[in-house]
Amino acid sequence: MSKAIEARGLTRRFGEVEAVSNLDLDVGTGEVFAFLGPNGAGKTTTVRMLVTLLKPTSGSATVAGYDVVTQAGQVRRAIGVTLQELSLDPMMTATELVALHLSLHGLGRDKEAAERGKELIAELGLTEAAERRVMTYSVGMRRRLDLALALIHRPQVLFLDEPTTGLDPSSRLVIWDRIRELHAAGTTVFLTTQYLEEADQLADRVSIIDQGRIVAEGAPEALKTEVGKPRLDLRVESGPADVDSILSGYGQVVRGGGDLVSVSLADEQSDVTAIIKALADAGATVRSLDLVRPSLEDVFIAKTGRRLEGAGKDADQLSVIAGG
Amino acid sequence: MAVVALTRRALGDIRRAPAGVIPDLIAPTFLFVAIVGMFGRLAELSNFGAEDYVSFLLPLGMVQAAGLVGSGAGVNVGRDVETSFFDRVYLLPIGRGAVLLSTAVSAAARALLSVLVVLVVGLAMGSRVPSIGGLLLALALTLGFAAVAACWGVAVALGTRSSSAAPMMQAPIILLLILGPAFAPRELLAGWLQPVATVNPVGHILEAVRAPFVGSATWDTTWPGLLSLAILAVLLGGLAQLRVRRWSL
Amino acid sequence: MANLGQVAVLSGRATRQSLRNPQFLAPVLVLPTLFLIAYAGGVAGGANLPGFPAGAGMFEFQLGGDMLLSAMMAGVIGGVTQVVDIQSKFFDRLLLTPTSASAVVFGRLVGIGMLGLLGGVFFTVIGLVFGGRPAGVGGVLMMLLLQVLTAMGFGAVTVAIALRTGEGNAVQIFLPLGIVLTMFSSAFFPRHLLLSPLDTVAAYNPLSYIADGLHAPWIGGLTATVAWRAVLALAVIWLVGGLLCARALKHRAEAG
Repeated sequence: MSKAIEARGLTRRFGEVEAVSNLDLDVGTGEVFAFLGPNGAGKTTTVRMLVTLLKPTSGSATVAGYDVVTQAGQVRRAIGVTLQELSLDPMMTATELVALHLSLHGLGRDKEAAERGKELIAELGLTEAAERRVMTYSVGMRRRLDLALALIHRPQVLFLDEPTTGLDPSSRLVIWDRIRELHAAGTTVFLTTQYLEEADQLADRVSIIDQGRIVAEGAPEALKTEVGKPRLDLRVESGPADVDSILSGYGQVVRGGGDLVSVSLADEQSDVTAIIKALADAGATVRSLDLVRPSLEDVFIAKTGRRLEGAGKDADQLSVIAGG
Repeated sequence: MAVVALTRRALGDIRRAPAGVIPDLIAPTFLFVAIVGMFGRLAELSNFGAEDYVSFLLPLGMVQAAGLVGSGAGVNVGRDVETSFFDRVYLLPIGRGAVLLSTAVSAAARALLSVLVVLVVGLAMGSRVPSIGGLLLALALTLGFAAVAACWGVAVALGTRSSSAAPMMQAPIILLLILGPAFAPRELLAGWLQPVATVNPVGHILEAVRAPFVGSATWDTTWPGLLSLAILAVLLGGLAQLRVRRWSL
Repeated sequence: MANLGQVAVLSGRATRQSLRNPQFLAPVLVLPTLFLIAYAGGVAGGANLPGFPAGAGMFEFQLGGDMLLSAMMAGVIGGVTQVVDIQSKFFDRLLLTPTSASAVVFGRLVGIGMLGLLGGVFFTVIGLVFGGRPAGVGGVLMMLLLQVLTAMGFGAVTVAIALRTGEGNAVQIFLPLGIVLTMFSSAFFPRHLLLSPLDTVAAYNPLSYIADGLHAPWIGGLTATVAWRAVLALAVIWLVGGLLCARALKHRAEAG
C-alpha cells in the first residue's frame, strides 16, 4: 500500500517544551487513521506540521508524496483540513465562504466544482442557512460548514482535528457518516480525537500519543487484544456440575460475589457457545453471560498508566491493571 | 452619606489601579500642546484679540480635559451595569438622586487631576498667570462642565447598558466644544460656524473660563457661562436622572 | 508571483469584512469629518495669515489633511481586521489553501487600499458639495491614488504587528498614534506656519509630504516637486511596512 502520510523523526519544540518528540508515522492511502491522546499530548502540533501551518524543529514529513516544508504549496493542494477551533469568518455566509474557497483553490470558474459545493451544503443540511451569516449558526452547523469547506476541492488526504469535540450526538453522527463515506470512496483520513469511541468506530488504525510521543500503534482490535484477553462474566446455578473445572479449560477462572464467575479467555477466538454447551451438558444453568472486551481506554491505561480523560493530573495515576 | 460612600467607591480605582488614569492625563495634554504648535500663528492676526496663543488655548485644554474625563465616567457606570453592580446600588434604600450626584462629583474630582496637568503644562509653556479669583472661577466652571458631561455619559451608559459606548459618550461633548470659539475668537470662525457658536452653550462656558487668562473675568464675561452651565445641568442632569428613575421599568 | 485573481478575491472579501462592521467605518469616515468640522470652521481665520496658500480657504486646506487622517485610519482598521482573522482562525483557513501566505496578506492590503479609496471618495464628494474645486480629473485621481497607497502602506505596518502579536491591543494603540502622527505633520496647517519645534518635527515626518500631495489639488500648487516628494514619502512607508510584513510572515511560519 502506498503511503499518504509519512513522518520520520518529526520534532517540534516551543522554547524549552518539546511538544512533539521524534515522531515516526506511516498512514496508507485510503486509510482512516486516528490519532488518539489527551489534551496537550501533541496531536494538534503534529497536525499543524503535517498541514504546513507550522515548521518542524527537526525531522521530515511528506503528505501525498510532497514534503511539508519544501513543497508546501503542493501539499495544500492535496489536502483538506478542519482545525480544532472553528476557522470561519462569522460575517460571511456559507455561500460566500464556498465561493471564496473555490476561487482560492483555482476552481472559481469550475461549474462542476460549484455544483459540488451546493451538493455538499445540501448533504450537510445547510441549504436553508446558506445565505445567512455564519454568526447565526449553531456550533454543529459551523462544524458541518467547516467540513464542507475542507471537502470542496476533493482532497486526497483529509485532516480532521477533533472534528466532533463539543458536538451534540446527532451532529456527531452526521460527521461520522460523512467520514465513512469518504473512506469508502478512497479518501485518506487523518483524524485526531480524544474520544475513544470515535477512534474505535471509524479508524482502520490508531496511534496513541502521550506527552509528544507515540506509545502504541495498530488496528484497534489488535491493540485491544495486545493489552488484554476478552473476559466472560457468567451467572451460573451450578447444580451437579463442577463449574470451575469446566471453565478452567478455557482460561483463568475468578470467582466474584454470589453466583458470578469470570473467565479470562485464553484464546481470543474462543467459541462461547461451546462453553455454554459444556456447562449445560454438565447440568449447570447459565442465567446470564457477558463477553467483556478490553477497550481502547484499557489500551491507553496500559500504555500510559493514566486514564485518557483528565490526563496529566497526578491524582489520576492508576496502577496498571489491564496488562495481559 | 450615601453620596459620599458612592463617590469614594467611584474614585477607589484611582487608588487601586493608578495606571488607569494615565490616558486621561496624557490625551488632553497632548491635544493641547499639538494644537498650540499647529495653530499658534493665529495670534499674529490683527483681530485675534489675545496677546499670545498659549494663554488663549489653555482654557480650551482645561475644558477639553474636563469634557473627555467627565463623559468617560459613563464607561464606569456601563461597567457597573454589565456586572450588575448597578442593580445592587439601585436596590439600596437611598435617594435616586444620590446615584447620579455621586457619579458627577467623582467625575469632577477625577477631571480635576487632568485639568491641573494641562494647567501646569500651559503655565510652563508661558501662559499668562490669571488672578487667584479668576483661576478659582475658571476651575469651578471647568469642573462643573465635567459634572454635566458625566451626566451625559451616565445617560448613554444606562441607555446602551454597555461600557463600550465610549465614543457615543465623548464624541458629542467634544463636538459641542469644537463648534464654537475653541481655537480662535468668534470673529475668526467660518461664517457658517458663527451662528452655531452663538447658540452653543459650551462656547459660552469656554469663553467664561478663558476670560481670566486673556484679560480679566468680569460679571459680563462670566454670566453667559454660568447660565449655559445651568442650562446644561438641567438638560443633561434631567436626562440622566430620567434614565436612573426608569432603570427598573 | 501571487495569482492576481486570488488576490482580487481576497481583497474583495477583506473589503466586505470592513463594510459589514460599522464600527470599522467610523474611524475612516466619522473621525476625519469631526476634524474637518472643527478645523475648517474653527480656524477659518488662519487663511488670512501671511504665507497661507493664496486663493485657498481653510476648508479646502483641511480636506487634504482629513483625507490623510482617513487613510491612516483605514490602515489601522486593516490591522484590527487582521487580528480578527487571526483570532477567529480564519487566517489559518486561508493559509491552508494553495494560495501563498504573501498573497493572503497582499489581498488584505489591497482591501485596506479599497477602504482608503472609500474615504478618499467620501471626502472628495464632501469637498465638491461644499464648494471645493480640485485641480481637474488628474488632480482627483492623484489624490485618490495617494489615499489608496497611504492606507496600504500604513496598513502594512499594522498588519505586520497583527501578524507578529495576534493581539488587538497592540494594533489599537495605532488609533491614537495615527492621530498623533497626523497632527505632527503639515496635514492641518501649512508647515512653514507651524510653531517651533512642531515645524521641525513635521519636516522630518514623511506624512507631511503625503499631506502636501493631498492638499495640492484642492489649494492649487500641484507641482512635480510636490508629487515626487509624496511618492518618496510613500516609498519610505511602504519600505518599512513591507519589511515588517515580510519579517512577521517569516516569524509566523516558524512559530506557527
